[in-house]
Amino acid sequence: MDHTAQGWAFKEIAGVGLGLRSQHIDEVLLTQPAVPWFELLTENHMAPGGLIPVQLEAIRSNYPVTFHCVGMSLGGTDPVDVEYLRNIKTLIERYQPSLVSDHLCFSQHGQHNYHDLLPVPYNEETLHHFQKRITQIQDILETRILVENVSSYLTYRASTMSEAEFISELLSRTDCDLLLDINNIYVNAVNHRFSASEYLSKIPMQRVREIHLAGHENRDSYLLDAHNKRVSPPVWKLYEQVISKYPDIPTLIEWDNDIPSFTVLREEADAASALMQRHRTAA
Amino acid sequence: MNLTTLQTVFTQALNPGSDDPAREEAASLLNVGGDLQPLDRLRVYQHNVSGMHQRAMERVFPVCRKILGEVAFANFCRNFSWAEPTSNPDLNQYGESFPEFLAQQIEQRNELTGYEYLLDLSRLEYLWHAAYYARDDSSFDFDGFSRLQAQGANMVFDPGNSLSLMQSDYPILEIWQQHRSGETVAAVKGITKRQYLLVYRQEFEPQIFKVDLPEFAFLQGCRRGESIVALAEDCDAASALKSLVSLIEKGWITGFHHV
Repeated sequence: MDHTAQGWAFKEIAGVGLGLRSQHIDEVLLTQPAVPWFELLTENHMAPGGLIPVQLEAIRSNYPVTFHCVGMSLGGTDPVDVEYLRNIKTLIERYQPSLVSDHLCFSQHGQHNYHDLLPVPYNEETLHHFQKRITQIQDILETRILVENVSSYLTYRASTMSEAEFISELLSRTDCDLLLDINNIYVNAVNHRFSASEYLSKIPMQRVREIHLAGHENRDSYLLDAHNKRVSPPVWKLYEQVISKYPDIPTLIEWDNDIPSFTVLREEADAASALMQRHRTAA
Repeated sequence: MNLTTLQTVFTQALNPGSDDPAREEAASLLNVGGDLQPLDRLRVYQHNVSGMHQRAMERVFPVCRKILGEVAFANFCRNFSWAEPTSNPDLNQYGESFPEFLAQQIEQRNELTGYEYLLDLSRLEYLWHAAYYARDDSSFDFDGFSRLQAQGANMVFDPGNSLSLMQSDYPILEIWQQHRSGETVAAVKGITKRQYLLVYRQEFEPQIFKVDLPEFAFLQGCRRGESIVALAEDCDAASALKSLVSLIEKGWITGFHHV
């Protein structure tokens, strides 16, 4: 199936969007801030009734949205959860998100869902597995998805290539795009001692359709991708490295824990927008 | 080792109750280097998984958490997530079988004597949570109902999608209300008068109502698919038929089907 031929007209997204969390929904609906788009954690919006679909309908009528999923278990070897995917597809058809994404990891094994982004080894077997799995899922969803690089706290001896090489090879073989999480690259670069710049140089940037920025926490012996702080200076620096060459890639500020006021999120988005604008002008 | 086996070994080591050989086997899959030892790296994931499930449970069972205390509740959550794994990716549906798990723990552990009411209280909390996410109802089709009634058809009433029923010999509604309003409840003793409770979402907000036995029996019969004729013969439920219009107006009965 050609996943580029989508059955409906997606509204394109541009600029810097925000991850919308339940704490801010009322404020957004009331004040209708000038945010170019919102990203929704799809699993938080799967309720068939009650307030959630009503809120989502109201948000969608005012803003483009993207769907960010955590339940596809793209790297998992359990059979794909068809019922879950059908629910996602129903939401896609109803709300027509501009993009749909999930992560390069597994979250379920042996019918046990861990609700976490668990790492996979980077080797030929995993490449082949992702290739098949992504195609299968895109066929069910009838849409092209973005896959996101994840943060990790370990590497496997079974890996035969670097994460960046793995992603590049996967994109060359698979009909999907990349959601590039710059904070995750930085976290992994520190945790696994590699050069984030070198990582970026291996990524086929023409396949990056969205960037994620978030904060992390320093736990002394490692960085935790906690999404509970402002974007850190080294991550801004890496972002600038990307956006200076590709200033049109839509960017998202993610914040999932210790959620601050909406104003703080806007400040982070404004900082990213300023960088984007500066480099657009220069280009 | 193939990908499936690797994931089996890795995930077994995520269980805080896993034995040393299981953890060592998983650690042997990992590269060595950096400031963290392989076992420490596994612990980061153990902690992340437990934390994710605990936060989900805190949202569903805030009153039980308050009663048990943060540490004990966290332990129950951790043990529950391994004793009752779910394959459902939707964390909003997480914890449905926690009340039964909690009841088992209470039965097995002497230090939890006196907390037997937590089975009913945790059930009530889950039903309240589930009502928030339940499917919407369509409005009752009075014309269709009248037509079928005129034909003398036997029918089954459909309760609302968000409606749940439970009974308890403990004053769990009062405990729930007091905790939610920030009050502390003294020791709980069983009550002789049984509570019949109904959980239902009014527009967007779940509500808990005390109902009488006829209403309870009637709605429970509807839930079991018993027909109007059968309910009329049930001495507990029969009198509730007289207040049928009121049950429909409240949104507790939202439809019917012919049998």
